[in-house]
Amino acid sequence: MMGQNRAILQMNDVHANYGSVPALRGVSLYIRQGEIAVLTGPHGSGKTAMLKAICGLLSVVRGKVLFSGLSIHSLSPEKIVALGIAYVDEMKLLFPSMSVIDNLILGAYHRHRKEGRDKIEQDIKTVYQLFPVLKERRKQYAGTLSGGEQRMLAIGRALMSSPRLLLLDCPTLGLAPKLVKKVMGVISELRDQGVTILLIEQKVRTAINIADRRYVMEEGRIISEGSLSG
Amino acid sequence: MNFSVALQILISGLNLGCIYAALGLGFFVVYSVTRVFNLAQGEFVMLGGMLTASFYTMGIPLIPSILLAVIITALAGAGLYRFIMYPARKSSGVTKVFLTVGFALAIEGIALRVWGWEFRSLPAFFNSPSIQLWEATIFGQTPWVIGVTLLMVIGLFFFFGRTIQGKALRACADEPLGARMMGISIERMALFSFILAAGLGAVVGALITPLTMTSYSVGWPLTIKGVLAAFVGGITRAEGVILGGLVFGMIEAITAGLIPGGYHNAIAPGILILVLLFRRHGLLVTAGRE
Repeated sequence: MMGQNRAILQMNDVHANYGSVPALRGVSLYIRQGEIAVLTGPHGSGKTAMLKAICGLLSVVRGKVLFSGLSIHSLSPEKIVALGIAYVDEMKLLFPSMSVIDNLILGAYHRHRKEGRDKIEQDIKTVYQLFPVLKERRKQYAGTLSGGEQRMLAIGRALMSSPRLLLLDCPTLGLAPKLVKKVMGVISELRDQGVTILLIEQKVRTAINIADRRYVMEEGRIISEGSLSG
Repeated sequence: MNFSVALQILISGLNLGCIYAALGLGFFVVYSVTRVFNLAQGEFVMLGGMLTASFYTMGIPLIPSILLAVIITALAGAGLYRFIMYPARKSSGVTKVFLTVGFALAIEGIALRVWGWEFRSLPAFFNSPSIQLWEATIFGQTPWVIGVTLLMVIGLFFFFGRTIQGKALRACADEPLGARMMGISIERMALFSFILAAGLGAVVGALITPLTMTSYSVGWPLTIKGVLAAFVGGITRAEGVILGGLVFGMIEAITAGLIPGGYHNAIAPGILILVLLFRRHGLLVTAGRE
């Protein structure tokens, strides 16, 4: 496919801290457009810090983050979302006392002025097709959903921002095996639609089935990188 | 107690209740987005009343006078956020509350300098005449207070429930980090909440001036009553705040009607404190979610 090898995300020698504790100690990485990259490594190796540094939640003290050639490491999270990067936190960060449908609508917050209601309603339908249970529960408060449903809502809400790069922190954490398969299916479907995905996954074996590339982290650095799609 | 006295008390309670509910909503708007108790809310009410009365006595018609007052007060609200609360956004909650108290005192001082200590008044809106209902007399301004408060409540529910900006405001209260990840600027939403609360406060100020008169010093007692009303109903829900305001107004009207000697000013807050002792999160909020 054309443009398959263009970098959508590039990190050059990125350093970032949690308070005074270094979390990233010189990460460099290169993610091609339209691929699924999986990030693995032990606890505390800097995987979550890496996603947070990309989406602006963790400030980068040294190095560069480029998104489609644009330098983004000093932008606010709000601006980064508008550029087309969506992040699904391990904790989900849903709006618990708002309905499922309102959560989805707010996922498209930055698109409202430019694209209008119809386009957004269309996208809500697309999310319902991916996760039919969300349609059933659309009027329910997000806080009343089960863990698995909340996970799906978090992914659905992120998709509502129509991201070009989707960052997923442990999207299958705590899910039943059947749902894990479902979520993995959705992720590869998204890739086929042209969304680039960077995910952290504990269940390495499940992720490797769908991933194109794998990075292994240790102590705030990437220690190995390998193509899986060959 | 005869029927007409009961009716008089009921109407007076509804009138007070609407005022306290509207005051409480001002707190609610700011609190729900920023988790700050804005103890300058009563000063917005004072500014709204004093400005409307000043413009009106200058010969400007009522509606433009109110609009001007609302705009200037909203600007004061924007100033409070932009120049005091925003620079202090990383401070502790207690610091923020005291900053709003400082702002309230400063506004009061400026108002004293500008307007002096005299009370000012307005006629009932459009010189509405008093209404005789059986034996009870309803002051011409009362229907305006009740009607406009109702409109503000409907407007707020529509805004928070139906519009994307209103939903974004609620999202900031619900999960600020999640809101940021959706591209919602918390700072802009907070600024907006102060502007909205100040504007609401100014409308309340204009509404009550024909009933109670106004002066530079009316803000502080209103703040206290509004806070109490908001807490009694449960500050985390708009319905709670409205209910709290109505209950407070009713209790005050009943005690004022039945117990002579101005004790109502002590009894009503006393009862509300008792309520809070037994229902820590307010009448409407039962769960432990804060």
